[in-house]
Amino acid sequence: MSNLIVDVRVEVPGFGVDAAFVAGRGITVLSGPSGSGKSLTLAAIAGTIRPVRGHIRCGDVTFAEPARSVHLRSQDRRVGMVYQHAALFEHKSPLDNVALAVRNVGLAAARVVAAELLERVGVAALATAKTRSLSGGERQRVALARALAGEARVLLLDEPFSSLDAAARQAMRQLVRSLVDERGVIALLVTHDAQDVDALADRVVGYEPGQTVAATE
Amino acid sequence: MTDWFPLWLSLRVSAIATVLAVVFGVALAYLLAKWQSRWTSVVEAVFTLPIVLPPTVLGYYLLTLLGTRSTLGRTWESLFGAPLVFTQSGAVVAATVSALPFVIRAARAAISNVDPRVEQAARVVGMSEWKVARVVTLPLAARGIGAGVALGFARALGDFGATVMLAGNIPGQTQTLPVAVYDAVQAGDEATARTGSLVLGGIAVVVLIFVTQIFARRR
Repeated sequence: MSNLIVDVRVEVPGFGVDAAFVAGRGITVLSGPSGSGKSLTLAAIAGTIRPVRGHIRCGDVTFAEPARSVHLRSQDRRVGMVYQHAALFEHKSPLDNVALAVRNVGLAAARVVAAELLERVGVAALATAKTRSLSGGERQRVALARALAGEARVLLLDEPFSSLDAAARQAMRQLVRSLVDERGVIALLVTHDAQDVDALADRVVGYEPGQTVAATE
Repeated sequence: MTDWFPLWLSLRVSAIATVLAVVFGVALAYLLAKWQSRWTSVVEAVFTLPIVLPPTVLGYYLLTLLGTRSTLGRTWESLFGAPLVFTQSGAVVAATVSALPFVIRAARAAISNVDPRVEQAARVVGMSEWKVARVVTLPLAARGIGAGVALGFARALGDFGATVMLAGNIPGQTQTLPVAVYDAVQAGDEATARTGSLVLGGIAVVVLIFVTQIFARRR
């Protein structure tokens, strides 16, 4: 069984974080105060920022290792990402948002896969709606379907519930839990909400400003 | 009987010039928006020059650069068998150079305004850089680019100075409508000057309304 091994330093102007943890299947919550570097860690795993040293590996695939000049492109990492504000393709339908993330098939086949995923996350009826018109909860469901469409090994969830009301948040938690279990993915969840930790965490990685401090099962 | 040749030529020249300015301008704007270095602002400044230079001065430089005695001009002549200057192709070049800065500036701003997280999301789901540009960035920037294209078209249609310098003022061959209006006034032909001005003014107003609508809908 493959784990995600993170042992890196990531820097942006004026800030840096040292992150070290191992995440297996299930949900690992990255927990800590705002600005402690949790989202920066996710960005390094997604490949949208390059770590300055250390390594990130998933099973036998090295995502990044600056010392060996290894930096796998985001496109080739097979990770899925859900952002706080969904970051959907606003000019495309929910169906095509998901279909564009299905790999290695033509558009027609991709739409079939996308329709099944939208069904699974409970928004099949909105497949051809205007993406701009969706509610916050609906947007996050589409974003979750999109993140899983590429057969992701690693699912990165960057405060995906924080813009939702209590009812939508609860429903989204259950959906994330069941999808992570069903697909056997390695999920990393960044959150400030203690209820998220209680409800979802299989493991917790604690952050202090600029570094990870502890991992608990 | 009104001579419609200058209007027809103007529309044809500015249409071709707009297409060229879009192809070249959007590609350059994309590079300027994505690959920031100390050269970015230099390149952008050079391509903004046609806005600030007096049109006749711009035309003079184009004439120097592309005239029959220049390397570029001779290359053109050996490729196409005829000089570039004082031809309709020369008018297209003058109009393209005049339209380019409007397309580049608008497109660059619109492309920079696209939420980088959405582009990152597109990369993370597996799209190549080319597909991210084609499927995500450019469609999301389309309105801003459209405004720049409309302004560029209007500028190309209205160009006088650079066109006269590079393409000349040959009635029935290179005389565009703005040049024809000037000629008509010089010759005391009130009717032609009035008709030409009305047509050009009308098109300018339509373009302005179009651009205003684009920005109004954005909010």
